[in-house]
Amino acid sequence: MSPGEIVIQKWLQTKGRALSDFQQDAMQARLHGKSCLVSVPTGMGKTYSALLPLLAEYINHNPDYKTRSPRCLQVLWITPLKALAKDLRKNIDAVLHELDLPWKTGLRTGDVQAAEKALQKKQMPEILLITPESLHLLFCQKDHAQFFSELSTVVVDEWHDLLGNKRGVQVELAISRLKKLRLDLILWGMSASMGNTSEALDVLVGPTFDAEKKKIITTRMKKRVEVHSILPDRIEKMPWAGHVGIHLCDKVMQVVNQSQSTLLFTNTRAQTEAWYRHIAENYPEMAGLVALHHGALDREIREWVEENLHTGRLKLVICTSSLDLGVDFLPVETVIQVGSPKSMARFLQRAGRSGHQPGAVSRVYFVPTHALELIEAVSLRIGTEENKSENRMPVELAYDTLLQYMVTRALGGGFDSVELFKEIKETWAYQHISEDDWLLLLGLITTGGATLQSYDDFKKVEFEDGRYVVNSRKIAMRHRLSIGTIVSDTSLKIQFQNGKYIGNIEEQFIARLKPGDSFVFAGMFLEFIRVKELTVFVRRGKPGKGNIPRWSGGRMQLSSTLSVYIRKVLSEALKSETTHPELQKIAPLLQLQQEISKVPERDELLIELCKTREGHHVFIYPFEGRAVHEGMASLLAWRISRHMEVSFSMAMNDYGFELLSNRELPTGLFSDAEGIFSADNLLQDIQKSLNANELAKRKFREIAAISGMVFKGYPGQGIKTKHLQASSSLLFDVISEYDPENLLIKQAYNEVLEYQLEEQRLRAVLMRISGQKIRIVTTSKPSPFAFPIMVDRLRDQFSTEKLEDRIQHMLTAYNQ
Amino acid sequence: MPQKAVFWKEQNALLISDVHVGKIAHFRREGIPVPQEAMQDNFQRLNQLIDMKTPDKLYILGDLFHSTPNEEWDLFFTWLQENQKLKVEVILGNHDRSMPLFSFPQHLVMHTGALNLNSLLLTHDPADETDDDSFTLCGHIHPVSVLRKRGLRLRLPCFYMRKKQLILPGFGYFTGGYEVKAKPGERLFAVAENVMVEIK
Repeated sequence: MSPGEIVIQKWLQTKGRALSDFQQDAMQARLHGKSCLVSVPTGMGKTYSALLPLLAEYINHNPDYKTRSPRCLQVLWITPLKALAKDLRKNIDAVLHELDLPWKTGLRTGDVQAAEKALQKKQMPEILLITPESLHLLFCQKDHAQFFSELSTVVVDEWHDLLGNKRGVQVELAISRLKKLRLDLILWGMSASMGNTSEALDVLVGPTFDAEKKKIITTRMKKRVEVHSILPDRIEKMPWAGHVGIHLCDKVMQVVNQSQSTLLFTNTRAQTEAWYRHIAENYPEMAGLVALHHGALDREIREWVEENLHTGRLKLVICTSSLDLGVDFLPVETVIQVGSPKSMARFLQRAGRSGHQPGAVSRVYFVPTHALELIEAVSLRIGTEENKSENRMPVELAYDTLLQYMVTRALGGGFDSVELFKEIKETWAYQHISEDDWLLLLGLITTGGATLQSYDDFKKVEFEDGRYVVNSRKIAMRHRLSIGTIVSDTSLKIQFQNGKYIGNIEEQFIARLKPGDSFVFAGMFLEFIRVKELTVFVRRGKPGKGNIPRWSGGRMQLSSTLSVYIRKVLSEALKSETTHPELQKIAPLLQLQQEISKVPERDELLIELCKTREGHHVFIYPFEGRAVHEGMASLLAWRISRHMEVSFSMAMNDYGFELLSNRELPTGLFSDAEGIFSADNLLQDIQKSLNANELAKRKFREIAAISGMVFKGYPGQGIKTKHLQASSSLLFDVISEYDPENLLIKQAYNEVLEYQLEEQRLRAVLMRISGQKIRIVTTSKPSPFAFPIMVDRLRDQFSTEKLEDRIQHMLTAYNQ
Repeated sequence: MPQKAVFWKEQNALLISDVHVGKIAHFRREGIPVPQEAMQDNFQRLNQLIDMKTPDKLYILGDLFHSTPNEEWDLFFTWLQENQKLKVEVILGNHDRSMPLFSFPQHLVMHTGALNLNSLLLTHDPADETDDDSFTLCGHIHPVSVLRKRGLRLRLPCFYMRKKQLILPGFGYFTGGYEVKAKPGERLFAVAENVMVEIK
């Protein structure tokens, strides 16, 4: 055993502990100079598996470690959340202190004061905790290379979370830079459970990384997770369609009362507010013991809640995914999930918020918001037992993020085009970028266009002495202010008249209010006074009725992993005696479904036809989530309309979708899997069936902001984001017309297909259907499956007219 | 006219507003890569209009230029030279501050204030004071009408007819717009492709 290992072991012994299996593996891998991805469930000691090995390695090389410190940056610790960084720092400081290691730690996030950053510039701490954005800001400094002269390790925390978005790409780019500066750099990713760990490791270290020098570390220990459901006394009491789940509040409160601290997760901010209101009004004894936490609340309020969770003062916190990520709240014993979490990984992540200690049991209670979610409860339990998690798909060829990085490097001392191209080709995200595309991007920041431009005043990045540099201070300043890949929605600040800021709200909601109206926010009744510029002024309102604002934020998608379980559980539900209490509960409803229509087998696609006063309904149940159903519904509607003149209304939920029309459709249309369900020509058909141009324009908003085409404004005097919205769509129109081959425009269309419509998944579903038996049932009234879709109806008029006709049509409609 | 212009038959004159020449070049100078080719759009559309109507006069109701002089201005000067027979009268707008510093050919006339033509008043800003009797033609706000229908949004530039005022849509290619809604007694005429339709 090496000296470093002995030091660590002795220290652990004083605490009555030892390295767990995966921590031991991590230690060996590190001492052999390997880069790793540590993928273990939440709450098993991941932080130690990164920290202890690197300290042991350092001690091995520095026997005098107690008396001498390097006074120079050794470790970069990248974390997605500012809140996480603070917490981590505390934990790391404690270990350093107990080991007598005179290392310093430092924070560098958007919240850190300029004075502290200046101090860091003079002398970097040994461990720097940093967000991806702040790291890129560091690269903007001309002399940034000097900070990393002794850097040995880059740790990336919560890699599963970063991986699937453009912040992950920022991390990849940063690593490609640091690898060039430090050839023997060790890379250390940490993630919760996910399906594609080996891909995740390759994305982290880069596709060309030496296979001998990388390793995946997992654990043989199982995190024990108990999944319980909170069931109504009688199934008749369950609503058939979606609801906030509050009818089960009494039973939820019984669970809350049994444990010290509870986190109650909901899926939307509006749901959080509704639950908070209900508990505040009906359980006076909870006053001061319950709080709420969501992303639209002011940071100060959120920090207060987090602080009081730590100390155990709060008995119940109602939250959204804002508390998903890895801050440890030790007093939390129980987690309650209201409604479907939509993915196994999210469910496990949330479950892991309780019993956040190695060896402890995580207890999670599932609260169904409507009857069919009982099926999901069972699916979640089986999935948890089988330890299944979704894949996280890395982002590829995000041109906007690359453009931003190119300007960053031009600022940070300039770059050589050939060298930088080679560097970024070594990242996963840009491994397939062509030289032509690279030159197009270079053109966008140097001459302002793809084609050779005639001379003009375009100025951004200039070519000087063989290097691309930024000379303009104005451009430099604007670039630094807009680094990042998170583009916020158009939102207004909410403030009391005395100036106290409490959070953000969407403009659309406020637009519907009149002065004097009240609404619920942060658990309070607020009276709307007026809007001035981007601020909504309010005062405390009288308790009573008030609307709860809606935040549009992306709806979460039902994952395909969970969808497979749901179909399986459903098909077996009525077949055998079941031990799952949820299935016993839902049996009468499923029997009703079987009577009126059918409960589909795993290899069947159920289609119901039904005629009501509203018209002819077609219900189709692929169980693949709302987004896929939306794409599928538009696709089918478009394909059918080529056979006959008909127009449809569409509605969908996570289980199926409805096409409603005024004409009866021949059943033969649906029975042939090769017909309207065909995966042939999918791409063309889907683009024709949806308003792809409009969707791409919306995506372009983010792309324009990331690539620096629109500027969000100087702090404090920012141009209104309304202005940004307008000019990004204006830019979209101009560029589409005059430079249709523009890479950023192409990216906008790709993002629509890939992320919004999930084209790959839609294709997979159609392929699956082609191998399935299609069951067409004509029902006399809407079945229990159909009912929630009808109730949840979000009307989406579909018409087959061309755009110009549609304009004309809309205009005539307005004229009548 | 659906070309975002007004044709005044008696005077054989075209009226347009808010061309914002120089905006694209201004954006490019700030490092925002708006395609350079787009600069030609305004002049192409102007030429089409002139071919169609062969007017004697062109009235521009303010904001002919955007920002400070740049190479897009030069395109305008060239265009002026190619259209020597056309008499151009410009009412200065808020964006035209640096315009009086330049010398223009004789067939372009600048007016710092409103222009009164037989009880028809031409101004830039609709809020400018007018005398009570005359009808005003103006621009400045770039009115657009937004049609919303089941999740679909359509923004169309429009002519905004008020009691004693007609506000013209912005003629410039790369200009945004400000949403207006007709109050009682007012009318909106939207421009879509090559038709003009009243919004009710």
